[in-house]
Formats: sequence, structure tokens, C-alpha cells
Amino acid sequence: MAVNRTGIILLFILLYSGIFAQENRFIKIPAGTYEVGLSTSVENPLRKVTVKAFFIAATELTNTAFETFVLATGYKTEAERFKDALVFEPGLEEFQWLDDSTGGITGKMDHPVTGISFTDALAYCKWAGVRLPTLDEWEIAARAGSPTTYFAGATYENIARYANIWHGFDHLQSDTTDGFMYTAPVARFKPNPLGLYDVFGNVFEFCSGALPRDKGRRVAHARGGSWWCSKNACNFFNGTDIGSVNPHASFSNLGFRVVKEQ
Amino acid sequence: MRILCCMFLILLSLPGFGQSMGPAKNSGWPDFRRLTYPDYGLEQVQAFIRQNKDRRESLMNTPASDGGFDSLSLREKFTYAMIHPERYLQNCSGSEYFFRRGKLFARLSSGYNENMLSRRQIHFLKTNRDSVMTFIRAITRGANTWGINLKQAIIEINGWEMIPAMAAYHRQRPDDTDVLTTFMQLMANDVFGEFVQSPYYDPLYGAQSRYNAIIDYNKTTETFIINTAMNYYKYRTGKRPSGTSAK
Repeated sequence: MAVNRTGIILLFILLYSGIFAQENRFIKIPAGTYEVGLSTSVENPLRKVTVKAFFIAATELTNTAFETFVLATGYKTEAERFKDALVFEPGLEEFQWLDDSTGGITGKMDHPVTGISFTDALAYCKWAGVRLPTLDEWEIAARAGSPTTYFAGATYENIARYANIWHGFDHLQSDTTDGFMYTAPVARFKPNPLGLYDVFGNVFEFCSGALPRDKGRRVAHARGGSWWCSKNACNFFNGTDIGSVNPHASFSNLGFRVVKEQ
Repeated sequence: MRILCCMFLILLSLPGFGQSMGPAKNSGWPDFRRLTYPDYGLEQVQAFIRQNKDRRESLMNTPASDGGFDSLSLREKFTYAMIHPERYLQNCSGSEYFFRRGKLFARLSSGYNENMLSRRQIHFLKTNRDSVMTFIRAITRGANTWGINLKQAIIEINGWEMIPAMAAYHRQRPDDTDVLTTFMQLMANDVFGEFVQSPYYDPLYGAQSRYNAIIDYNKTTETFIINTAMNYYKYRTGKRPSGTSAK
């Protein structure tokens, strides 16, 4: 019994340290010319882009990491200041959210930070000496060289192995098919071939950059789908679709991963 | 001359500008996907909105305080709702962005970029539906374009009484396929039997349909939707022969 308990403790330590290691790991994306977009996409057409080398976080930024920033700076998120965070609970019609300003994260310190706006994400990046990936960088890293909208191994049909998404037909009933109704701890699902976790699902990831549809307005863009996204509504857990959101909006399915130059 | 050209181009890009614009072309953002700006107290409401933008840079949606909102007249509240959506729109409302000629959508685009109507704005529209329809009729009288916000308001209030006026507008602007979407949403929301039993219902609103489902647009489909919508209107007004069930 004692051996078993020790074994369990050891296993827990190994698992925890493994996740912790992933959280702090950056994947190098070499400089080069990469294909992005899809020939069938109007908004994200097939094209080649050239980027400098960059290092992208293996996981989405966690509550633990964001808390470090908050404790060091006393930063108040926009949702805390303006009480306008939006959260979800089963029973809501598609694309409907509830007002909430509490954003409880008890027991979720290894989950991606949510309830933060694009503006908050930029503030974190400035403090941490990192930045958001550009729209192209995110796609290059997410697709990992695949010519399709999914990285090698992932398909529309088996996406559940790689992504924490919503498996219910709609959002009127709760869905815990994959073990998580809302966010999952980072690195809980299988990574892409480059070792990036949760590029699809879990939380939408803010990127920097603008699109023609912005028409000059300041708009935030986030990619990769989220735990809320189902095959019947949203369906953005892929390497092509690009979302748009008010840069001050704080949703419980919006987060980010960071990039550093070296 | 160059400056004048630039100013003209900027004006063209403004939301709501171009009520007298011609039919949409085959590509780009059609005029009926823009907002119609009601003229009821527009300047006062715009000034009211500016007063509320005092805390941070904002993109359209800083909500007025309850007291401020209540201070608006009925007509001003309508104008406020039509030009100032108070709520953030979710990042992945993908169907909001796309317009594809030759396709019919199950649902209307939000039309408010990254924002949407708040619950109190929707509540206002619903609880004042007769007034809202009166306002919409006045705004659209002789108008070349019915903006996306007006059609959204019609759906929110289940404004089936607007069907004949919309059909008349559609005869002038057959390229505005959002009229057909509006008709379908009204009928689907009310589970109107003739539409539910049609081959169009299941792919767009059926149990296995996707939220952003689309179907091909053609003349047959258009004629069916308009005729069925008129039947729905007659049913709702009690003019339809007895024995036809809507639910």
C-alpha cells in the first residue's frame, strides 16, 4: 500500500513536472518561406509568406503565469475594471453569453488564462518581454508544415484527440464528452508534430495583425477554436479560420500563447 | 481634386452611407449588409453615445447607464439600439463576415461588426414591437436599401406584419437576399408548417443542421420562400383558409 501511495505521488510529480515543463517550453520555428491559407478560403487565401525565426510557447499561457504578472504589477484586467466579462453555462442559445465579473479560477491554475481582453494580453506581453504571434506565425506553427487546414495526423473526424472542443449538437445541454466542459489544463490533449499543445480548441488564441475586413478599425483576432466551439456552431478549430473580436472584450474562451524572438 | 476623390472614397466606406446606392455587385460587401441610420433624434443619440465613451477607447459598444438609457425617449431608444449595439460579439461568429452571392444563409449576419444587441436593447424592441414596426415603416418608406439592423430588429420582434412591405422592397431589390433569410427565420422561429415541411427547412434549421448552414439561391427557391412567407402572413392575419396548421 505504501509503495502504491509512493508510486502515485511519484507519478503525480512526474506528470505535474511534465506539464510544468511544457508550459515553459518554446518551440523554434526556423526562418523561411511558408505556405499559409487555403485555395478555397476567401478570407485567408492560399499564399506564401516569409518570416524570421521565432520561438512560440508550447502551450497557451496559464493562470499561473498570468497571476505572476498580476502579483508583480498590481494589474487590473479590463473585465475587473469594467465588469463586462462574458461567460457561458449550458442552456444558452448559440452564441449567447452571460455577464460575469468574477472569473473564478480556483483549481484551474494550470488552465489557460481566460476572461482577459486583447488589451490585457498585450499588457502581459509588454511586462514579460514577449509578444503575440502574428496571424501568419500562428498558422505556420499550428499547421506544422501541413498543406491542409489541420496538422499532420489531425482530421476533422479525429480532432477530439488533439483539441478540447464542444461535442454537443448545441449548447442547450452540458457536454463533457472529452472530460472537460470548459477549459482543460494545458497540454492535456495530444500535441501537433512540432510539439505545440492545444493549437486547436481549449481557448481561442489572440494574434497580432489586421485583416482587410477590419476596414481600418482596431479589431482583435484570435484563432484555433475553443472549448465552446462545436462542429455545428463556430467550427473554428482549424488552421484557416480567423476570428474577430472587440479588443476590449473578455470571454471565457479567449486566451493567448506567446512568442519570443530568441 | 485628389483630396475630393479621397473624401468621396472615405464617405463610401462609412457604415450606413449610401442609402441611395444601386444594387450590390457580385463581390464585396453589399449595401444591405450595412446599418440603416434612423433619423429620429439621431444627433441627440449620437451625442448621448459620445458622453458615455469617457472611460476608455471603445468600439461602438460602451453601454449607457440604466439611468441614461431610461432618459431616452421611445424613438431615441430605437435609434440607440439601431446604431449602438451594447454587447460584445463572440470571436467565432464566422457567418457574420461572409457574403456569398448565389447562397442563402439560415441566419442574418449581425451587421454590427464585433458587437451585438444587448439583452436590454432586445427587451426594448420586443416590448415596443408595434412602435418599432411603425418606426421601421417610416424609415424604409421609399428607401433604396433596408439595412441589416432593421431586418435583425424585425426578427427579434417576430415582426411578421412587415412581410408584405419587405416583399415589395425585394421586388425593387431582388439582390437583397437577406430579405429571404429574414422570411425564413420568421417562419422557422414560428415553426410554420408549410415551411417546415419544405425541402429547405431541414438543411437550414433541422435537427442536424449547422448554425451557419447555407443553401443555393435560385429563382425557384426565391419564389417558394416569398410565396410561403406571404402564406405565413395570411395565416397570421387570419386570412388563410381554415384547416391549415402552422404549428
